[in-house]
Parts: sequence; C-alpha cells; structure tokens
Amino acid sequence: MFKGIFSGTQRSPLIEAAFDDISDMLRQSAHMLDLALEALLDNAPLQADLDELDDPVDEAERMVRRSVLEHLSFNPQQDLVASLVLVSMVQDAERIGDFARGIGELVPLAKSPRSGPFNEGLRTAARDLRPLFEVTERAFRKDDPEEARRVMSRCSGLKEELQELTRKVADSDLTADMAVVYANAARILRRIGSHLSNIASSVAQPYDRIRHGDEDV
Amino acid sequence: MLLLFTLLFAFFVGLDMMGLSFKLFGKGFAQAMIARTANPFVGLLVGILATSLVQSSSTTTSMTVGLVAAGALTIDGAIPIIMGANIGTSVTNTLVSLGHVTRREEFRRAFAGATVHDFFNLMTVAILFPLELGFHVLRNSAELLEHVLEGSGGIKLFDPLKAVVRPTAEWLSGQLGSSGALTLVGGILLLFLALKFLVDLLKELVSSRAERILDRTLFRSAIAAIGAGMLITAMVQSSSITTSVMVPLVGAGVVTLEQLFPFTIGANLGTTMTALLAALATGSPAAVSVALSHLLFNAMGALIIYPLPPIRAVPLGLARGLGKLGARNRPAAIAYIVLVFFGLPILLLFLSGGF
Repeated sequence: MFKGIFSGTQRSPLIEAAFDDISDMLRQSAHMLDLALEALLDNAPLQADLDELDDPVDEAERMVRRSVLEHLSFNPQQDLVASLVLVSMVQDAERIGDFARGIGELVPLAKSPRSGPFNEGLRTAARDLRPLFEVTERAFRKDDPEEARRVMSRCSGLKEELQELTRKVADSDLTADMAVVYANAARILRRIGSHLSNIASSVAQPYDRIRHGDEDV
Repeated sequence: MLLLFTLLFAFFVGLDMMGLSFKLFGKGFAQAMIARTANPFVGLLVGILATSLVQSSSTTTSMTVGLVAAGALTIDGAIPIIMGANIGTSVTNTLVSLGHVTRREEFRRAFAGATVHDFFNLMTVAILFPLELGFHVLRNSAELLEHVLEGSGGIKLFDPLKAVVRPTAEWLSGQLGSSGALTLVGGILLLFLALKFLVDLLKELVSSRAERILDRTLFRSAIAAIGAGMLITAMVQSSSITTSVMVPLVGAGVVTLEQLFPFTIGANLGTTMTALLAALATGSPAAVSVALSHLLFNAMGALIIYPLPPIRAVPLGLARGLGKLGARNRPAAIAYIVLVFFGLPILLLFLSGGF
C-alpha cells in the first residue's frame, strides 16, 4: 500500500523517523517477550524489570503521535495516508509491549514450576510467533505486501492453535493457578499475534480495511 | 529555483512600479499621502486593518517600505503602520484556531495559543507606541543602525539588481499607458501576487526541513524556540504560516503555551526579513530605516516582555483567560476577533478624526 502513497515523492523526514520509532518499539517488545517467556516457560528468574523496559515503548508511541501531528500541521497533503496508518500502527506496537509485560505478570501467579503438554504447546506457539516480529518489521520497512500477508496468515493459524489450547486447559484437571496461567498466556500470545497481524494489514490492505479480520478477545 | 528567482524578481518589480507611480502622479499626490498619514493613530489603524484584510504583514510592510522609498510616506508616518501590521498579522492564526471550535478542550488550548501572539503584539504596541510618539525611540535607533549599514556598504548590495528591475518596471508602466493610477494598481497587484506565490513555493520547498527544525528545537529551550520561529519564518517569509501551523499542535496539547510563546516571538522577528529585503532592493536609506524599525520593534518587544517572568506572565495569562472564555462561550471568541481586528480600528479611526 505504501508504494502507492510514496511513488514519485520523497517521504517526510518526520514520517521516516516515526517508522524508525515503530521498528524500535517492535524490537524492544520482542526483547521483553523473550525475557518474559524464558521466565514463564523455562522457570528462569526474570532477568529485568519489564515495566522499566516498557517505558521506552510508551515514550516512542508519544514521539510517533507527536511527529505525525507536527508533520500534518506543516504539510497535510504529503504522506497523509501514511500518517494516518502510522497512528494506527503505533497503537498496535504499544499494545504488544503491554502484552509482553503481561506474560511476565503471570509468572508469580503460578504456584509450581511450569512443565508438561500445555507448557510445550505454549512453547511451540511462542517459537512460531517470535520470528513474526522481524517479518512484520521487514514487511512495513520494505513495503512488501507478500511478507505482510504471510504474517497475517501465520497469525490467523496461531490464533486457532492457541484457542484450541485454551479449550484443552478448560477441560483439564489443572489446579486453578496453573489453569489461569496457561489460559492467560495462550490469550496473550494470541493477542500479540493479532496486533502483529494488524500492523501487517496496514501494508497489505487498503486503508479502510486495516485491522480487517481482527477480533476482540 | 528558476521560479523562485522569477517570483523574487516580480516582487522587486512590483515594488519599483509603486515608486514609479508616485513620480507619474506628481509631487502633489505624494504630499497629500503624507498629510493623510501624519496622524500616527491613523497609521496604526491602517496597518491593522490592511493586514487583517490581506492576512499578510509582509505585504503591508513591503508596501509601506515601497511608499517610503517613493517619498509618499515619511518614516514617522510609516512606523505606526508597521506596528499595526504586527497586530493585524496575528488575525490569521486566531482564525485558524476557530477550526477547533467543535471540541471544547482542544479549542480552549488552540484559542489561547493563537491569542498569545495577539496579546504579545498588543502589549508591544501599548509600550512602544507612546514611546515612539514621545521620544522617537524606534526611529532614532533605526536611523542609527541604517547609518552603520550604509557605512559598511550594506545598502548598495542590491544596486546591480536595480539595473534590471527599473527597466522592467518602466516597460510595464509604459504598457499601462504610463498612467500613475494603473502603474500603482499594477505594482500593488504584482507585489501581492508575487509574495503570495513566493510564500506558497517556499513553504513547499522548505516544509520537510522546517518540520525537522521544529521537531528538534521547539522542546529544547526558549532560545532554541525563538531561533526556530525566526529561522522557519525567514525561510517561508510568512509569520502567518509559522504561527498557524502551531495552532493544531497547541490544540492537541503536544505543545504548551509556554513552549509556543518564544516560538511566536521568533516568528515575529523572522517576518521582518521580507520588508528588509524590499527596503534593500529600493536602495533608499529611509526605506531601510523603516524596515529596521520593524525589526527593532519586535526585538525590543521581545526584550521587554519575555525575559522577566512577571511581565511574561501577562500575555500568557490573558491568552489563557481568553481561551477559557472562548471555550465556555464560543460566540465570545468570534466577538473578540471582530472587535480587536476590525471594530476597534474602525472606531479609533472615527475618534481620531481619520475619516
């Protein structure tokens, strides 16, 4: 979609900087998710304060909003659609940071170490989800709709797998604490996938169909 | 670039045609003009009204400089017009702030952001206008500065340009039948259009750089904000544009009134470049003095009002109060604009016997 927007023109430096900020937000969120998953699935101590790590993500969101407004105040004709898309993307990128932090918040709820089929199911989902951060970033940096569609398709598949895992948790005889932890972890991973899919949809879809197919959980 | 130079050339030709027209009218007409603007209140109000109507102080100040160069206006007659132009130019961003009227909180901030410019300019006039009437503070300082500039050869910088501008202006005047009235109207029209297209073109050319400067400097310090306001305004040759682009940012709460204020002062300083350029192009020492008085007026205003927090708090407080009033009672916001920029000048014109 961006190719159509930017063809024959030079992108505004502020809009360019806003795209850099979203890349940084995704990288920081991916790092937070790695640490949180390590603590949850491998029973390792949490290596950092996730709240602190989330601060730059929140700050970057403010920067992007400000940059977009500054740009539109000066030059509303140039990069108009890209500016609106950025405001939508930054919202998804910020939520991913919050959800990564949410995984970390589940760790103290578990009264026993995490192991067994549900833990493995989550590990497999996380292994599939994790590379999608880089693919999503590449998709919007290179304005590549094919890569973007790949992210959307994979996130859709992951959503079904994680919904199935949640159903199995509900039918299991897990203790309440472990059921809460696994069900919520599955939900959070599903939401992270949905937000990555939303970002990818801004590359692959027309403006009015961005976030199309996303569902609120 | 070619278009840029063509528009600049057209601007200078328009200015020169104004000068030519007064030669064609004869000495009597120029003397009548001088007599008409001898009342400084009239000059002030003409400056406010003319700038409010054309929404460009650069047009008013350039024309004023042109009239001084042509001998149709004295320095004493021109300075109040320049002061009035400063007040009149702040109507544009106040009108822009009305675009936020449907969202109460946003409008409160936007209207306060727009009117802080009004209050700064009104305060500067309230302080410097009586000082100018009593002691000619601006005229004396400007003439002193002009002598320094003349001594350093600065005024002769544009002499080669005049060799090209004058024959073009004379040719155009000839095409208009060498009529004083037609040459004057043609000159004003050419100056107005050239300046309008010049500002549009410059905005397009520099907007990417300007938004970057704004982003990097506005939130650092007051000095940086003054510098940014000055630089961006000098780049686009219009303080109306630079102060207007800030209105949505203030309305959205991204820029505070305190951050905006020094930027506005910078914009006031930056906009003086157009008249200075016009004055240098005329090569007239009196015109250069008037353009310098415009610069000094804004610089003195900034030095009197900004450095001391209690004085600085006055325009900020008034703008904040008016923002609240406008958000609570929106017709009051409209009434303020009509009253300050149109009603008050007309009323004072009557009272001063200008009609």
